[in-house]
Amino acid sequence: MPHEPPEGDSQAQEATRDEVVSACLALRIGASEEDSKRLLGYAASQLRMRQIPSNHLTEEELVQNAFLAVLSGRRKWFLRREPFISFMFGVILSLARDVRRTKAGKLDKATASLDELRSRLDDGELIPGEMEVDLELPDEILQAKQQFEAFQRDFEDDYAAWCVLECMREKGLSGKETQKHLGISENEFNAARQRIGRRLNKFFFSH
Amino acid sequence: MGENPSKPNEALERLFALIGDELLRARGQELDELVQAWGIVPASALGIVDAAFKKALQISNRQRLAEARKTQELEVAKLRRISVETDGTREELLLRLNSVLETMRRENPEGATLEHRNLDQYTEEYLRSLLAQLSALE
Repeated sequence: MPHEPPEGDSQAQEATRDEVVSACLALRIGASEEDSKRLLGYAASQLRMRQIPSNHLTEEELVQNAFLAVLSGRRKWFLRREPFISFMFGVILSLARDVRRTKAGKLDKATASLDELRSRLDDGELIPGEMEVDLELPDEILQAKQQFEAFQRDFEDDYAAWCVLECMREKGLSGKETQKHLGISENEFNAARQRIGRRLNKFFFSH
Repeated sequence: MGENPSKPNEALERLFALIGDELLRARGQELDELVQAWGIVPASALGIVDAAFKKALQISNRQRLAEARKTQELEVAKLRRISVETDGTREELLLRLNSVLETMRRENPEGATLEHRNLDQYTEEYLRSLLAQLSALE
């Protein structure tokens, strides 16, 4: 994967705008073509899983907003901390989460046409990725809980994956903690996690 | 230990983040199949990301230009004000300097330590320069 954090100074270093632009440009060339697929695939997955319709926000617009948030310095990449592609995943995830959590009126701001978006950006009215986030509503929490449980029920035929999900849902354990808690090897854990990942799209496309 | 289990959304968020791990690990045909599963045509990904980046860069550059213009306008306005304020006779300069120093002392009694009782001893050129510097601080 390109743009791994440079070795040496362990101190986190904030990337300059030029470094950000080169990292963005690098996504488009050579072996990094795969990162373009990853980026777009991740944006698409976030929109599908959060049930954000494409007439509100497309994966292209989400990726564009992520680039904009980074280029404008509102989201800072510390190049020694993580590879650029992982950082961009984080930006996309948080933008998608903000859109999902934002009221209908605010949602419009995130989904405006490019011209309208430009005009609002120029006026300083809109700051993509830093839109006002409402407190989570009880209905939304309940819906999320039900969504997770329904997905977990899909794994009643796969005990290892079901247990990994249970650790995620009930105990909030990390990968290592889950392995230890379940007493399984890293390979077994990764295989279960992979099966979960592969089934996510089927679940969220059909619900 | 993990996070507070009383927040069910966090579990869902972890689930949503999990797909990122899969995408980072996958390569070649496996990656193509994975992104296809999310409705992306792999061959079109490069063009779409490229276009998204170009649009973002255009918007970002436009924002930077607007900010630069704004800063420039402020600087020009400040310079105009300074040039007007440093015109005038020696007496007018002394009056303005005393007024500026008095305002500074009022706003920050401990910060404004300039001795201004003996302004009479300075040349007109020095007074003009001092007034310009103080005006630029505003």
